Amino acid sequence: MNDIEAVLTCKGLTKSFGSKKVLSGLDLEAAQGEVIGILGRNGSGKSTLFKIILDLLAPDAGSVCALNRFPDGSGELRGLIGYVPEKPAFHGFMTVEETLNFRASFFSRWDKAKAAQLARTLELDTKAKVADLSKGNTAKLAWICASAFNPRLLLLDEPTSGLDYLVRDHILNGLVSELADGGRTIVISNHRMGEVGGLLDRVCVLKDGRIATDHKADFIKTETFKVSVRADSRPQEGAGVKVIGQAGSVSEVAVFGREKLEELKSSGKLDGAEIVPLELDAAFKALLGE
Amino acid sequence: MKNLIKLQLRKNFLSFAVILGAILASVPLALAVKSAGMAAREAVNLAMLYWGIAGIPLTALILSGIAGAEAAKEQARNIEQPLPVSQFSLLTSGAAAVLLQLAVLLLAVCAILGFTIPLSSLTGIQEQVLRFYVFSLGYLALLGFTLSYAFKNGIAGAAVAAAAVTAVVLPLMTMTVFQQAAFVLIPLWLIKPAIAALALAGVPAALKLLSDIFDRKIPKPAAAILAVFLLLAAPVLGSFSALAWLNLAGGKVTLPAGNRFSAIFGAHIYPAAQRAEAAGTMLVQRPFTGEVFLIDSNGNRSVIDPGANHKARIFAGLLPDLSFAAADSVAGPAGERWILYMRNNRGQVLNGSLKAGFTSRATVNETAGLTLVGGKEPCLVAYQGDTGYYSAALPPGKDGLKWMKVSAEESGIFNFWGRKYLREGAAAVFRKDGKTLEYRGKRWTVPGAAATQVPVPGVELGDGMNFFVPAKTKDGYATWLCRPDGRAEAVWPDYLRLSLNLFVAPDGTVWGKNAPHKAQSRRLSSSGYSIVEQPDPVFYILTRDGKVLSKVKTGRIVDNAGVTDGDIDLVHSDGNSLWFVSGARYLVKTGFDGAADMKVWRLPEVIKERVRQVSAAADGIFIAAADGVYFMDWDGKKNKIY
Repeated sequence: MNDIEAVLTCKGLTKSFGSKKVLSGLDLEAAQGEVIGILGRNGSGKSTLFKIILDLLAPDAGSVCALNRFPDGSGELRGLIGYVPEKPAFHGFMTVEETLNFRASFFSRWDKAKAAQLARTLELDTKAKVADLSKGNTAKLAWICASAFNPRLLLLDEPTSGLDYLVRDHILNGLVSELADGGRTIVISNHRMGEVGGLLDRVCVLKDGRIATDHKADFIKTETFKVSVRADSRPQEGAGVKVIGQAGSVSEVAVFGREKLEELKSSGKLDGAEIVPLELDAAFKALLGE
Repeated sequence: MKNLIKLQLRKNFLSFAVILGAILASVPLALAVKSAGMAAREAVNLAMLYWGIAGIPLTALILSGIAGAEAAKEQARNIEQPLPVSQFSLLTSGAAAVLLQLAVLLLAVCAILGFTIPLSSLTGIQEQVLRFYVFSLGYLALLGFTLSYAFKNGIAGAAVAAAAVTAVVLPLMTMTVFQQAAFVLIPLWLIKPAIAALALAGVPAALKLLSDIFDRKIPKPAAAILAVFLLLAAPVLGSFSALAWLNLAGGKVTLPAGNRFSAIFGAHIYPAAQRAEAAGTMLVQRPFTGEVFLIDSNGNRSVIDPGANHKARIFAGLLPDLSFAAADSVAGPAGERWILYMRNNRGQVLNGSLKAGFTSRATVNETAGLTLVGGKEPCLVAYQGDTGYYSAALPPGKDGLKWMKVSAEESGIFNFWGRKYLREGAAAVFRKDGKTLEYRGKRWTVPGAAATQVPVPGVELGDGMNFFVPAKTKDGYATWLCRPDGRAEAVWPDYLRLSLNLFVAPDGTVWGKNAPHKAQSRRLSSSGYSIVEQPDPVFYILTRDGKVLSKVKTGRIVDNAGVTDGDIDLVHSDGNSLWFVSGARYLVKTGFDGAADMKVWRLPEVIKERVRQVSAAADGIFIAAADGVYFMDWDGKKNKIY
């Protein structure tokens, strides 16, 4: 990645709320055009990370550089980064159209035609009052607001949380794909990474306040395996090996990396074992340690 | 920012509209409920007075409380903070919207009043109160918003803001009223804008820190929290510090207590040596502590009244405790001192000396014209409204003061004074021819003497008794000087008479003055141009070694000192030099022409120019100044003696 322009660099980010340490020396880099999934359990610090990048929170230590700018409290960074919060909120007394016009007044690169086009594509009634919008339609409005000014960097915080299948599909297979194809850098945090797994270039696991593991998405897709093996000859858990299930005398083990698999095979520990590619969802679960 | 303010205005529109509606509705309501005799305009003015005094300040609290608490809510943060503006800008826009709404409401009230204040003119204090009102309103709105945001609760924020604004404004207002009505003790002209600036700049600074603490959750916020507290508390501390300063400065203030001045029976009755000794002390009071004392030029003191609050206090309520005493001091036949001391219409007659102290010899109630008289027969003279004039000899007898009726009418008191002058050996009389003045066998001829039926008071100078007789001339009046060597000469072309307009300095210099006005000049002041007549006091002087000076012009002293008519007195003469006190601000030494070789010494600052603020002695002047008592000699050397 060193030879590609870094759009986002976080170094040694630390943040505590009272006695609770949420981020603990987190490092993260995202290159131009990269789509990164941040995988983490509830309360692992994903939203805090995004708020620090957006200059909404000040880190206790560490630094952020996004699009060659540093957070300074001015809010300038938020004018360059598209952001879909986990729970989008707008002024209920405005209509969708007023909301878009209001937002447009703050973004110099706001594309009104694009916003209108997106509203049509997402079948969002611009005359409707925001207070009357369903959760799905509120999410659509958030998506329009995040992308109508053509940001080079997008932060999507649980972007499909609580949405029904159709809306989710609309957003993921439509919008995100389009954005990703457009060379934008996207950082997505999601519980259910499986549904966006096809879009990702990298998956970073946020654990104990730092990026615990960082894998290329292709690696997850092609080099993770589910090994069903007798419990008494189960390989030891460790680097690249994770027990993901137990059914009677059979253990299910996730093995990360072809090299590791070959190593286990050659050691004879997988004799008679059934080896199949690990499903994406299961791979992410294994990465999370669930 | 404009879009943010528009947003905030829209968010709070309902509350604002309801209050604006109430203001507008109060017009027909006032007209509907007014009493039959009340004019419609008056009823509307009364309604607007309510809004001005109570309604608008309450509205400032309500609007700022709602807006501040709203800005702290999680929902507002979720909606507005993702916008590409600083969190502080969001808060600022909220506060600005409240200020705008208040301005509109005030404008509505002003419009209903026809953009005029229903007072024919504003007094100085009313103008000050109006300024305080405008400041308080803005401060209340800003502080209410900030504290409501900090507490995340509109009611708590508004309540604390109201208390804080009161704590800042009330002391400043009472001090302003006090200084305007009484004395200028501290530079409020500087303190008030400084505290106002501190308040109006401190609140946004605190809001910025609060935004960092609550929104951005900055690391280690303890220092920021302390800074917020200091920024918000600074105006309160400033206001109370100024009050403490005022109280402490008040405690140092000295004023002359020897202010029961009687020109009718003045210093001229004393022989030369006694006159200098009598003038060698000053009766001084500290009006904020109640202390009264007699002091000499070396700082030796004798306390007449230690006062109720003997020591100055840092905090003595919202206004310094101010009470005035009045006193007079005269010398008796053996040089002993008598003091008449009055406070709150009750008084004492004291007797003693600076060295031995004073003891009360009698009590006395305040009556009109109560006068302490010295000389060979010291006494008190008083006027009892219904029955006439009375006198009581000093020292009092075993049964206290024995009041004897002197006269039932005013003419009688002049006869009393005349008889007393004669008994003191301090007056000459005209023979029946109306031209011959006689004193202990000596005679002078004065043609055209203005008053020949009453004794002519004289003054004992180095060469003996001198008498001044005003006489009519074909052009008006002239004053004749009858010298001890028997010469009588017309010395001054004016009417001058001891006990009326001719005075004796402690060193024996006799002087009178006339203050004609010079050319008019235009002066620019805050209220525009005004025509000012420049006074040019002319002095008539008999120096202690017998030189007569006529029409010594002192306009140049007035020009230099910038004093007004009547504020210049002669205090000393020596050789070919004269010393004047000008406006209780300067001691001026000049030649006999009033201008040559002029030397000017600035006196210590006095609190207010009052009678006897500067009191002459034979060897210098006492100054009852704003921070203590000073003595300045004829070379301008100043010494703080208390």
